[in-house]
Amino acid sequence: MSPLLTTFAADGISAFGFSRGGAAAGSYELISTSLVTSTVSSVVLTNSGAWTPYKHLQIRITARADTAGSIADNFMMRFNADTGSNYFREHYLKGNGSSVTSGSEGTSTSIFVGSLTAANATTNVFASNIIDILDHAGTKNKTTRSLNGYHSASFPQIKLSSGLWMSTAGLSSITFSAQSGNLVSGSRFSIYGIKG
Amino acid sequence: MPTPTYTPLANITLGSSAASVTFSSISQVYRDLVLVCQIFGAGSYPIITFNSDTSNTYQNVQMHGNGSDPNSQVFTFTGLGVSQSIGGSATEPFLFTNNIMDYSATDKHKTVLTRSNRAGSGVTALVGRWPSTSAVNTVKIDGNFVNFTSGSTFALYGIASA
Repeated sequence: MSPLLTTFAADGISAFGFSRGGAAAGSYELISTSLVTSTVSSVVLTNSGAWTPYKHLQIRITARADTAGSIADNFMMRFNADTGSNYFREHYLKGNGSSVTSGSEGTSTSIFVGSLTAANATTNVFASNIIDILDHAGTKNKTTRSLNGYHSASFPQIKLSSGLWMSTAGLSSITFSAQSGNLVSGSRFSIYGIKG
Repeated sequence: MPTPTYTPLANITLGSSAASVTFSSISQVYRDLVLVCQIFGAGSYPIITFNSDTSNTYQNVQMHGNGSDPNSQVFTFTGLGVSQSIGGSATEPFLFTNNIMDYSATDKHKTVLTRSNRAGSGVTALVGRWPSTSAVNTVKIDGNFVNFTSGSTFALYGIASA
């Protein structure tokens, strides 16, 4: 485990000073959380069998980059450490406070899941993201969807997007990184499983 | 072991009209809150405030589609909007879901991701920011000078983290 990144399995909650949550019966479960405690280039969520009981995954994120001279940086996601041109980067619909635009980027080496706030963004403002990955263990290509947004003093954004990993492999890991900068302390990545 | 979550914290169904609904003394053991509302109340434009803060400092960025004219606005207000363009109806449910991210953290401003919709009016996605590092312990949903009417529902869930 990286000393710059602390990962807690779900049964580690009490170590954080939190009591375990109410006993929700159900099909939506916390698997693990990774907290960035010092600047890192990426965060990797690893399966190791923990995702097996679930049909779908949801990842809830608050994160910020240190990209110098920028209010925002593109937020990248990869699967199974695949850095090849095996992704359809995105189709998106976004609003920036003055207009709504729709666009796309084609084949690429990662999926864009919105944007991160960066070094020039308002202090203490982290971008938020909710990502759904359906049928993560299935033998079809993997489509993802994301709701991402932040409000900084300028360049605000709310964005819906979808990406594709053109692989029939089940997911063994998910890697998050900023396109140009690093992820800063306070960034948080929680992964949840949804039973099917 | 995984932790079952999306835990119901409170659920309110109005039996009569009310100007607002407040969830207070919210447990701090979760990481995110999810607020799910279905409201009735013609002309209501709900706003959400935290910890009784009604200052004109809440930041909102919305994206809206109404069938003909997609638009986006940014605005500062005395609360978080759930849609600038969709108002409540007397007969047609107006739905909105708010994800209050890292509500219990004290090292960041509070960002809220919202989706709202009313079939006869439009759909909206919105991000809001409460410029405070305080943990959220009270959430108030206000009809903004128009009452919510009987049958409106308000549910609050906690999402565990570590």
